[in-house]
Amino acid sequence: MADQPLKPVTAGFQSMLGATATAQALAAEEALRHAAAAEDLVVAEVAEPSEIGFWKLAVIRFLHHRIATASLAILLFIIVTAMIVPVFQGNLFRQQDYTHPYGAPFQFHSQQLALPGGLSITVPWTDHLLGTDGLGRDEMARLIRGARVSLAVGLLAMLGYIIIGGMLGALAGYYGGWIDNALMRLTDVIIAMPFILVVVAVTAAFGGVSLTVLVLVIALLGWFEIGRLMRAQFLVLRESEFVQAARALGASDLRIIFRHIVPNSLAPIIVSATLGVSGIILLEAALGFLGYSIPPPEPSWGNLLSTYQEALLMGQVYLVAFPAIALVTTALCINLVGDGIRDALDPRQR
Amino acid sequence: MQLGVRFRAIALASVGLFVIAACGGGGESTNVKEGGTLTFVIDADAQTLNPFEVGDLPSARAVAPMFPNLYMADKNLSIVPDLADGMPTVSSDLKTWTVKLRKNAKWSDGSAITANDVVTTVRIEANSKLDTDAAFDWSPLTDPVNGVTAKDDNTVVFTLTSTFAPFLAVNLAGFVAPASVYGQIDPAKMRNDPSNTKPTVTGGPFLFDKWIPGQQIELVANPNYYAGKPHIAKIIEKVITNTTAAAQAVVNGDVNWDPEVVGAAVSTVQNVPGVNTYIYPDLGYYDVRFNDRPKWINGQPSLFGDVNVRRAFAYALDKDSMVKAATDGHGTPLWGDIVPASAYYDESATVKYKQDVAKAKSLMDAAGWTVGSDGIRVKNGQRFSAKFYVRADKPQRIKAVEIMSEQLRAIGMDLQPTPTDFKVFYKPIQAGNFDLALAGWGLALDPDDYTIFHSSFIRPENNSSGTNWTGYINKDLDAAIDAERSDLKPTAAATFAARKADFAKIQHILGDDVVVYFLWADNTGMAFNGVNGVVAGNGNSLNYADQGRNPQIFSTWSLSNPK
Amino acid sequence: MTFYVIRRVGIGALLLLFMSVAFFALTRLTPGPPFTTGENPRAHQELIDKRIHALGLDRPWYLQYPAYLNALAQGNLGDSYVYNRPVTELLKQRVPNSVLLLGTALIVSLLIAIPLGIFAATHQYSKLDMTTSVVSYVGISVPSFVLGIFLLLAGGVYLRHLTGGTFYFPLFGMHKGDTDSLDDLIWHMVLPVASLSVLSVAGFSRFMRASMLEVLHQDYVRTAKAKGLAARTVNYKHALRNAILPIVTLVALQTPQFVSGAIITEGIFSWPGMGLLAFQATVTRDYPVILGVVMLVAVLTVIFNLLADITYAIVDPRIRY
Repeated sequence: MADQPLKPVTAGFQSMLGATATAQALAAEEALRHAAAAEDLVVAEVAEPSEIGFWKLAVIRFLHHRIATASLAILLFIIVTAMIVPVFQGNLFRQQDYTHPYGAPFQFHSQQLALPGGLSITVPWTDHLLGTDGLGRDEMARLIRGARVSLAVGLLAMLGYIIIGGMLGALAGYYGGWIDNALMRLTDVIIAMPFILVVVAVTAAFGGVSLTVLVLVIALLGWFEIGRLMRAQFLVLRESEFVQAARALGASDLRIIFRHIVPNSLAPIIVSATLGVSGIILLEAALGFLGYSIPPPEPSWGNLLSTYQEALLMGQVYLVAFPAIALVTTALCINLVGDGIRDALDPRQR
Repeated sequence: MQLGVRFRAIALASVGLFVIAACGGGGESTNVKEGGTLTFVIDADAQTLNPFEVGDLPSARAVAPMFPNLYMADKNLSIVPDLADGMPTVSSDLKTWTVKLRKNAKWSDGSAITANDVVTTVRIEANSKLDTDAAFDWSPLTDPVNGVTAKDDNTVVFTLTSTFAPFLAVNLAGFVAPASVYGQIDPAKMRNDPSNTKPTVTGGPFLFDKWIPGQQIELVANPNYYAGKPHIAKIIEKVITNTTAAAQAVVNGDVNWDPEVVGAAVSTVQNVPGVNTYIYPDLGYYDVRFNDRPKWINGQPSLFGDVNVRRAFAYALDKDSMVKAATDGHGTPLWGDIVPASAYYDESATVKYKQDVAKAKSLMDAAGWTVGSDGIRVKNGQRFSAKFYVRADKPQRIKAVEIMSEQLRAIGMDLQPTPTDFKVFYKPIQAGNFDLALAGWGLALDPDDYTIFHSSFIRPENNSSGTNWTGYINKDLDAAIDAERSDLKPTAAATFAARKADFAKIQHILGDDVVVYFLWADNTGMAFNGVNGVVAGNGNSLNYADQGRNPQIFSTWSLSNPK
Repeated sequence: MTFYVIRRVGIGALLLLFMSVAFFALTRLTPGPPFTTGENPRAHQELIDKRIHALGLDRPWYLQYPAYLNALAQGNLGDSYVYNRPVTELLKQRVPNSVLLLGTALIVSLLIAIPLGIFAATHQYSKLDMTTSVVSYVGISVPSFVLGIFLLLAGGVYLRHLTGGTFYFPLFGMHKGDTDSLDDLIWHMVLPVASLSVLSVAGFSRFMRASMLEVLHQDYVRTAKAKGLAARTVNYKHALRNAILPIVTLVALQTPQFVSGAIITEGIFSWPGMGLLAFQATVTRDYPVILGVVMLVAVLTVIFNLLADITYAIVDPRIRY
């Protein structure tokens, strides 16, 4: 072991806004598990059950986890809806009827529906299932469209985590020494970074919030968890027998890293990344609450929540309740899927 | 001097965003009860308790009960004497103003309030070395020192270089501070003086007791107050950053007064028994400020330099319904910069544009803008596309911008709502490199709009600190504004009539050329619970009760249930 | 060992120096001036420029930095641009309020989470374990501001309606009126502490459960059980002691973050703490206050990291130093 002890990943920056202090605890829990679990994986590799077998087995185990499977189904439904429905709805999310604002949700009326063959039937119908907002815009269209931003921020920022954190973590773990030390100290700086100040600075520098700004800020300040996890994996794996063997056979560093170490360190990264996405989505919402969200008319769950807080006391609770429900449901599903993946990849830990 | 400038340094709206207010019929008892504690809301901690340093609203509210004014606003926003004894007299050349002071007035240390205090206060304010964020403008005086003198203990003489009509409302309706304290401080070091957190000698109806930073400021009644001992024994100014909680606190009876309930929330608790809510148009207003120059300062062709384009903008919108939606019914639509709360308001002088989309389109055609393939207009290869700047911390303003940008798309304008951090907001605007922005303006008791529309205040060309962002130059407008400022007549009534005519001329030019597109004045709510003796003026107005415009109210109010 | 500690302290000091440079640059490079004429029609740009010049803000940041560092070394954090008072004075007023609120929330959540986590681990797959899991997953998926607003409404508004105006929780601040009694303070802490604790309980109990399970699977615990020691003795005497160390470390490392975590809760409940102060300062570009709060957090981070590392070094002999 290097002179840096393995310690729980410092729960980090998402807790800056108190939005997800506890998602961080989960991530830390994750690190704790995998500090030990990584050694198991080494054993698995040396025993050489084929890699395909391992992943196939994992999928089977995941599908046996009913809650996780159901969550994944819901999540996929949300993602597909967010991707497809706005295409058909076009500009519905921005079409205003501002002289008739605050349409109540779930208002059904009878509607004559023409059927082929000259027939017609009367069905219950609603123009705006989830009501309309303060400018008379369809709340459901906005909610669905808003999911795009939230999910895009969550996934893209996580991609950023994996690229930055994965790379730096791998370098530090593989080469150790001063590179490792420098990385760990950089991590300390990042943790102490005043998140909201960075948001204000970057926002002002870019002339306003945009998807790029959100992703950039979150990725630049949040990668260190993945980084530490990756480093921990590399620390253990580079000393493992199969890596030693590869090295003795004269394999290059690149080959060792990508052929031998990376595939074996994926499991905990996948779990941590999944859980991290829910943290990022909650963070986007918290930033929206503080007034740092995508500019109108584009909706995001964050700015939907922040715009209509005052509606809570005016009898338009639905304008806050729907985005809140969407947000909590998505975050919950992601967390449960992450939990399922963990169990699937690491049955020892149930 | 507290000029009633609604300039807020701290923009925390994004944290405590919701507001509620209360309204209803609370029975007012006729017999006045003595004693008790009045608690009122300030939405951020005061920055200073030194009146020379006050530049923000919470501090203005906090300081208000502690210092006397020379003149003050009555319930109808007319200027009446506070510390002064009668209205000022003006010399026959209309350039020398003489103010008599009350003889019975005393500071809290027992010494008399004299002409020397007034002179010292003015000289500090007029001192160019004074380090402050507050905005004092004593430029009308012949000299910052000799322009104001004490003729005797109770007479102050102001000598002006020219006739200046707003002098009474703008310059004389400010606070007076004790020379014995503030005269000893080097004006250049005023900003960091220890008295800022702890006013020692004051003369208002209430005296400083203690300040728990971030939480509250406590004041006690001044038994020797010259306008009569206050009925209330104690005032607590409570910092409540969450505006929803603040209004709800009035309903709950945890506080007695919320001086500022704005926006959608006003209606929420309007029918709560025991809570009195007054709703009236504010003195400030909002408008869309165009870049009226033919070109930006950096040379880019300006979209709104052509008056036809600005008229098309005005014809494309239905102001009444838009304002109603943006403010949830709590704004008064405006067609000029004189707000309905002002005595100078004259609806007939304004130019109104009734929504007429066909006319708007033909005006755009006339201006040479043809509709492009994507529905957005084009001229000489330039798309009619602009950033519509708005402060990111103001939800109502953003809503208005959203509505306008949707409506104007119909006539081929692509205006992208651009909520901007308020520290960055002013940068392109002050540099003259923008197309349009939604701005908010405060007015003092006097509607003088010299600094906002006179061409000598155009920034950056004519004035490095000017607040005229439009770049609009019109000799007639300048002449009308100059006239409004210099039209001082021997009698107050004659002055008023002359100025009202001048303001009408200004309103007409502003409206006809759509120099800016006026939006609305907030209908501010003021909610009381358990406070007696509150008197509303014209239009239900309580404007005079806020920001130190009338310190005497604190001695006339009483509590219905003093504990 | 001594050398290791000295080296780590040295690295910590260097780290702080580096952070002070980084954060200083960050404040100075944030677009938007601390002072502007804004919409104030009677403000003078000349006065503002004069003030900016007097404060040296018109020079490049790296030329401003040495003076800042010099003052910092003497414990002088400068004067707030907004309040015109020493930043140290502002911190002295605000930090204890935050510590009170966050500390209470931390203690409350640990008192609930640790026993809950232990029970869930020792009764793995029991109904309570499952329930705890589900509840904590929901708990970590609720944003704190949604919870805060909901609690404000439920405890301060709806509850008042339900009870006909006789019973409700305070909505703002630390004290009612001019009282400063302890029970009044506790009364005012109920809602903010609750909104902070719910989330932490969810996270900490999950962590505690995992940590405890980890230990229960260790050889020495199994050995102890095999030797016939009562399960209760093994669980609470041997396993608990080892399982609790990681959570203590976690709490220590998280502490600095709680400060910024408080921004939203302090805002919703008008709590006069340093989270709110820091946010206002950021929005208004009150550089000295921003840096004061940020450096305080940085110092805490470094100290707690140091303590965690040293503790580990002492506890775990495998660590080379």
